[in-house]
Amino acid sequence: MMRRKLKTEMRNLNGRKLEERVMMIFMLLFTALALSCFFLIIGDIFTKGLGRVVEGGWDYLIKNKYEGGIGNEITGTLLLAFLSSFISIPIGVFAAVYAQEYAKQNVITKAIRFTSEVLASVPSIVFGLFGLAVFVFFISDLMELLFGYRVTFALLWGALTLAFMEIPGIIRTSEEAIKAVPITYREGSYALGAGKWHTVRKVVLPAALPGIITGVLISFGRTIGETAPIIYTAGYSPFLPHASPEALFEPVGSLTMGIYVGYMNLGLTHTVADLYGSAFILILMVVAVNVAAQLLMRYHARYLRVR
Amino acid sequence: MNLRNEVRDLLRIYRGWLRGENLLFPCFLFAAILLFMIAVFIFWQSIPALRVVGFIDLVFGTDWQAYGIGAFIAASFLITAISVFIAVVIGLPTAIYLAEFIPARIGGLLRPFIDMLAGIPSIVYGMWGLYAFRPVLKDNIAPFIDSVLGFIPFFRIPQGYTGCGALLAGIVLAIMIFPTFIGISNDAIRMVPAAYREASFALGATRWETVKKVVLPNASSGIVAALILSIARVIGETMAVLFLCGGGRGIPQTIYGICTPMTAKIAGAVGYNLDNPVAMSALFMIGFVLFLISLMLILAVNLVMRRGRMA
Repeated sequence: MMRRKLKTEMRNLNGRKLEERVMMIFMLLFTALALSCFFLIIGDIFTKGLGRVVEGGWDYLIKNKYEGGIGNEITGTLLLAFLSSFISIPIGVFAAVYAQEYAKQNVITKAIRFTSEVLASVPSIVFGLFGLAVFVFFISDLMELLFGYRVTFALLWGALTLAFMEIPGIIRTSEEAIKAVPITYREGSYALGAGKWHTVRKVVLPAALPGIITGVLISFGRTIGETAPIIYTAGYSPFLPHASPEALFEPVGSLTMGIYVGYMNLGLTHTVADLYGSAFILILMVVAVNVAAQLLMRYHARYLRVR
Repeated sequence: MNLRNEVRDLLRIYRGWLRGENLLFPCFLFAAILLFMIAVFIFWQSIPALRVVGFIDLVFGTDWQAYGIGAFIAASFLITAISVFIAVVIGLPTAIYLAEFIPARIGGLLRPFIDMLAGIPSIVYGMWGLYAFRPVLKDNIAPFIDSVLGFIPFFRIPQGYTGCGALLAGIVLAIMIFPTFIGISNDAIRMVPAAYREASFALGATRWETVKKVVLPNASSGIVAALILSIARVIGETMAVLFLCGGGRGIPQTIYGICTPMTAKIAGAVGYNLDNPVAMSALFMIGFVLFLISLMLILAVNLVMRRGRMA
């Protein structure tokens, strides 16, 4: 009797159940395809890159490009990323604080938020062109006029261009973090007689700090992997940067540029295995930064949640 | 003596200004005008080309020797179309499946594997596409497409096909924008109120029918926004297409055609044209066109989101 009842129900469903089954298989296949892409790419880079790094040993990671290693590139990437973060974090966080705490919420602030959105989606090569026009053309000419000193590609130009790219991202994540601070915190601080800047410094920013740092880490991870902004601003150098301020005005090698230059010179000075080795180290660095960001987010959610 | 005291007082006032609070507005102002600075500088650098060649020939001309950048714009459009098509066809079912048909805990475990695709640097995508995927495309996928759709000239494999070209770039870029498209679509689908679904189930609809007729129409504005943002990301992608596009001259004639999209042209040609001011300025014009396209796409996203919220 149960079976007959089900048969009647099936006949009344007009193949809707069948359609659902078919669509679900369809979607499952495509989901599996999308998920497998990550493993395909990471697997390929890891297998070919790990071999190159192991073959090179510690020398590979420490010696500069001239001597066959990528130590200068690792140092250069870290220098560029840290220097650009050093510039973009204060500007970005201060701008976010002003936008959230001090600015009146009117059409002008909405327009500025819109420009920040646009900046975040401007292609990286356009930032590279901007850096080329401003730093390598304009400011170098200025410096030649004033100091008689010609600088074309420089670590400083690369870091500044990367900083300009990071600022919209930092502003966005910092604004979210500051917005998330409960208004009761601020009200309590004002009730105790603190001024606005004092409240911002001692109450709001410390409360928003985990969110801000997470955003900083994410943008740091993205900056490590950027190539286009630094091709024509920071250039490439096979040597380790000097340990002195003049290194700011000299070209600097980085992992991404190393892969680009290596690709251009395949067969002459680089092999495909070299490219994979650099890519492997690059991905390790990006993964390390992302893992740190994830851990921070989890720590923040677990221990610093408002009760 | 009077002058010295006055100068000292002035300095004290100005140094007093240098408190933290007063630095906030300049930072905000800087962030606000950064966009205009970029637009102005890039347009200013592209004026020489406009003056020499004229707007129509510059933007719509397809001969780079005559400083026409139209071929690059066409190549960008082709690659963007291919990759967005693939991303939607594979990504939308994935987004739906992850949101609706997978238990939340497993979905949360799987979602990072798509989000982490966003962390892979674009130059690594280029490498993978060139060395790991290109042989697969050339030997397996392209002949398959040719056999199925080869009656249309657009889908016929050209002579001397090495695998590099618009199709390779399109497929790899589609993988690159999976996190963007799937992520935002997934969020849009999950934001549809549970009450809508429950009402649909109460009326006797199957889960798929609910998705098709209730969830998707309500999430459509978010999905369209995801689509536009994905287009913006693809058009701006530089290093991956540089490796994969093949570097051709004119407008691609087939889906496999080697071509040079705007971003790859800029990245590749600046080094060779430093002595040619008109060519450099034409490259800046390409940059300005890219900038305008990003601007219009973000405007479109805002319009779509506003209309979606009003609905």
